[in-house]
Amino acid sequence: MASYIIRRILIGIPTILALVVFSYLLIVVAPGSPFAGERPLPPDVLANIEARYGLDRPLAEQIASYVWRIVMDFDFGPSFAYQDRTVTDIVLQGFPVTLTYGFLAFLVSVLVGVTLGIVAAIRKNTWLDYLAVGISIGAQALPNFVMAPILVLVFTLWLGVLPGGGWQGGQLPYLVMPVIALSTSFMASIARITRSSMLEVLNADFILTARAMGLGFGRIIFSHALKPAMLPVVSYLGPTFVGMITGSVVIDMYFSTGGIGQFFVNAAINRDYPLIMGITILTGCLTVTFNLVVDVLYAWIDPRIRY
Amino acid sequence: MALLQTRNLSVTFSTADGPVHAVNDISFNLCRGEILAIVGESGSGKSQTAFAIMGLLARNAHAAGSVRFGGKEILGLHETSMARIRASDIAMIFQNPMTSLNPYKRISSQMTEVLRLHQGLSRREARFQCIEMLKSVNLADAEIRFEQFPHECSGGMRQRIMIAMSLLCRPRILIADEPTTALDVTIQSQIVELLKTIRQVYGTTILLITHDLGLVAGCSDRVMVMYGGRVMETGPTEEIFAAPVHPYTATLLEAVPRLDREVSELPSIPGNPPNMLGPIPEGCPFSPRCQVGDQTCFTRIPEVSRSGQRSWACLKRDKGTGHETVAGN
Amino acid sequence: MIFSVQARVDTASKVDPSDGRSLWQDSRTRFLRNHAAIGSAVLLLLICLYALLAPVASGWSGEAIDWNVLGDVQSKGRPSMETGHLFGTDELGRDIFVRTAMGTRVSLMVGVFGALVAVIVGTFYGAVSGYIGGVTDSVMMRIVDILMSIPFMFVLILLLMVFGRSVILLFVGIGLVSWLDMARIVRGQTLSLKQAEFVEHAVVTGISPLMIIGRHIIPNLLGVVVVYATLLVPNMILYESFISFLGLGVQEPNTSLGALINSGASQMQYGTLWQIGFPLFFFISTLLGFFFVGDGLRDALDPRDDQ
Repeated sequence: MASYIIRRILIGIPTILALVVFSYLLIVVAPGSPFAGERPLPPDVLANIEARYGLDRPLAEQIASYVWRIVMDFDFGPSFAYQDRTVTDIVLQGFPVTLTYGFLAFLVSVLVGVTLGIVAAIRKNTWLDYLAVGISIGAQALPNFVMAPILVLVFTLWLGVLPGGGWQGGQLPYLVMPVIALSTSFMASIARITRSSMLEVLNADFILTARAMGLGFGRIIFSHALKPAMLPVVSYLGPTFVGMITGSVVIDMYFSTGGIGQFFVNAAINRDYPLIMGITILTGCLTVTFNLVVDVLYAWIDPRIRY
Repeated sequence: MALLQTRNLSVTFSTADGPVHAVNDISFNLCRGEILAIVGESGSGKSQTAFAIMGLLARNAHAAGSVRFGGKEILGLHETSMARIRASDIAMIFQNPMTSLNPYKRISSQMTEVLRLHQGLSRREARFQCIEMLKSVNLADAEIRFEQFPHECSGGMRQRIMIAMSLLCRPRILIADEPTTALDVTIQSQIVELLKTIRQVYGTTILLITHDLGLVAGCSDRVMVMYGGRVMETGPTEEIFAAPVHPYTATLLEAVPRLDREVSELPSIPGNPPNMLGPIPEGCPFSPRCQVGDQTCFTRIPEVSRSGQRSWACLKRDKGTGHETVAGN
Repeated sequence: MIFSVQARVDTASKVDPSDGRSLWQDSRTRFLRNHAAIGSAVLLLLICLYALLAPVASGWSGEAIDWNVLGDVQSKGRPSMETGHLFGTDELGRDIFVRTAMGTRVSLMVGVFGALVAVIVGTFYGAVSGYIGGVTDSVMMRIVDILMSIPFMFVLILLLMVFGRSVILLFVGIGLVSWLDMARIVRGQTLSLKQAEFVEHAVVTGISPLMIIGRHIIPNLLGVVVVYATLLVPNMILYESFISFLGLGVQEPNTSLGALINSGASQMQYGTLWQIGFPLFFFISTLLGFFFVGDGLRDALDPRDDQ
């Protein structure tokens, strides 16, 4: 197991490096200087700025020193758009917010989705099943950017019970809508995956054995069927996590929660390259780490996986 | 009194194409300490009979008739009451040992679970008894295997483990559904020997379901031949092999390769196995393929004839003592 | 009973041997029997017709501003037959009926073309990887693994920002983001096809690998590819709408469903709910339509119970 984890980490490192190099090259290839956009600057001023940000040195050296500073000092360089702030400052401000509601939404998606899927599977072809399937099919067509306006319409404009935006240090009323908006479509997918994999597992020979051994219904579900039925769900956790991170862009824009997504879109509009790269690399690292955890979880559930 | 009495048992599946009558009106007794073999081709209803006894029929199946265990009716019993009977009174093992054990759980956890559930043993006591049972089914390195996952064991080992697991609560009846079909020939004979030993050591009554006549000859006391969801013939193994009464049994036995007889080509039974879909046929299910029968066989279901320990259902072999049923053994 | 144990009836006894239906005919019958799928196919057809014909049928163009309405969109911009604005107008007095059709057209186009790009790249990559096998296969699949753990939406936004926003880039970019799953599925299928006798025969007769892939492997993958492509389309639409919702996708005066939902959402507080309602309706209907048709095709081509 330990060697398996180490091997997975060793694969993760080049992934992140590739991401860094790729995004750096992309920005170098990009037409125009990052400072050329707003108003034309005198050449000597431009050269001055570029020197300050290290843009005049050879490409390989730029990338190497960029990576070096990230690894050693967690320093992603200065932000171009937010003049007096470093990328690290901004990232440290935004990520806690995003991770808070992202983690909650992740939890809600998995818990509600799995519960709904199991209930539908064990009450197959009853009204409960049809209801659960109906909800999960409908909710698949309700991505975060559809859910957000609908929720605001209902809870803020009509009922007036929830604030339409803001963060306030993550107080409950400010959390509800971001979490629901972000989790709905993933909850639906997880419910569908759980239902069909649970039904498949319940058809397995070893479930018949368990019944022949006189095990009760609850014991069969929880002691025998749940673990294998969770395998497809576990594989879907990676995409769910990526979906949470990506969805945070919409949530931050729509609810003004002040998370990382808001900075990302602003950076994209302002061509704030260091900030964009910083966010992309950090989310990349998070995703790689998370996928590592998922792989280990998968290997733990399925003993037949060779390390 | 017989340990298990089955009377007029029928199993019907409702499918999208209409009802499928898998088992039609069969009756038999299972006596204490015997090995009864149910023989038939695939689709003859032999496995469904076993599933009906265990209450393990598929969701779209319906069983009618009566199954009495120790005088108590167990057919149609509620799932929770039936669960208490399974493994502790009647246990069952299945055809494919490769898929019958849960691949995600250690053998230890699967086995101790049964004992702890039915007998409320402590973890330690359950563990001890499980390993003892694994040793008694001649599993090599029982302690090591006990802590492994199923995929780390071979097919033969897994069937031994399945047998050990089914015997944990010392059930009075063990139903073995094609226990050797998925195994190598050498392993097959080992498992057969094991079943015989189990009967000797624990006095377990065994209902062996198989299509393999060699297996039947090797270990069973009595044979019940099924075809098209009905019982064709029942009787002591030796007598049936020596002198089959029913035309189906006779043709079946002719189709078995034998070392003591030289034949250039094995005879096969002409025609196809019956289509179980649709209404129950009015006549003997074997009549379309029967060499002996005539028109009446298509229109009348033969009553059971008896002679000594033997009984059969054939209009053309009606030389028995009368028209009584097998009941009252 | 709560368990979904399948009928363990010998299926051979149920099949009438005189009935020689082909697999494709069987699939077609199964698909035609699936009411949800057929209904969805009809719905999609109607949506396509609307997207194509609405701009022609309506007296308004999607870009023209109705000066009569401007300034009092809440009351005069309502959906009405008299003004000819069947779905009402947006805050700039532009006809929603026509603009929704324009947006649906863009979304459908992105969906279909994006799926096409993904299918072409993924099928070829997966078929080559699976067919060659060995070290090449493991390296190629490792690359897929690495790419899968990158938050692609961020990279796509980065691409759009660097190369400027264009619909073509959106098509290609979204397609390139989504070929990974396709590659994996096709590879798995190829691995099993490789064992087929007709492929072995082709190998023995000395046909070149590329020819075998083109002539024997890919045609036999068609079923899987078609099913997966149908299920990819709604995902492509989701991606595009997501990006357009953020204002990073299709540019004004052209529009897409995501952009329309965004502008509708920003006007919700003024009570002009038709602005968000109609695009939302078409968005959800299109997604659900593709989901049901895709599911129906999958069930028809790969019949498995309980799905």
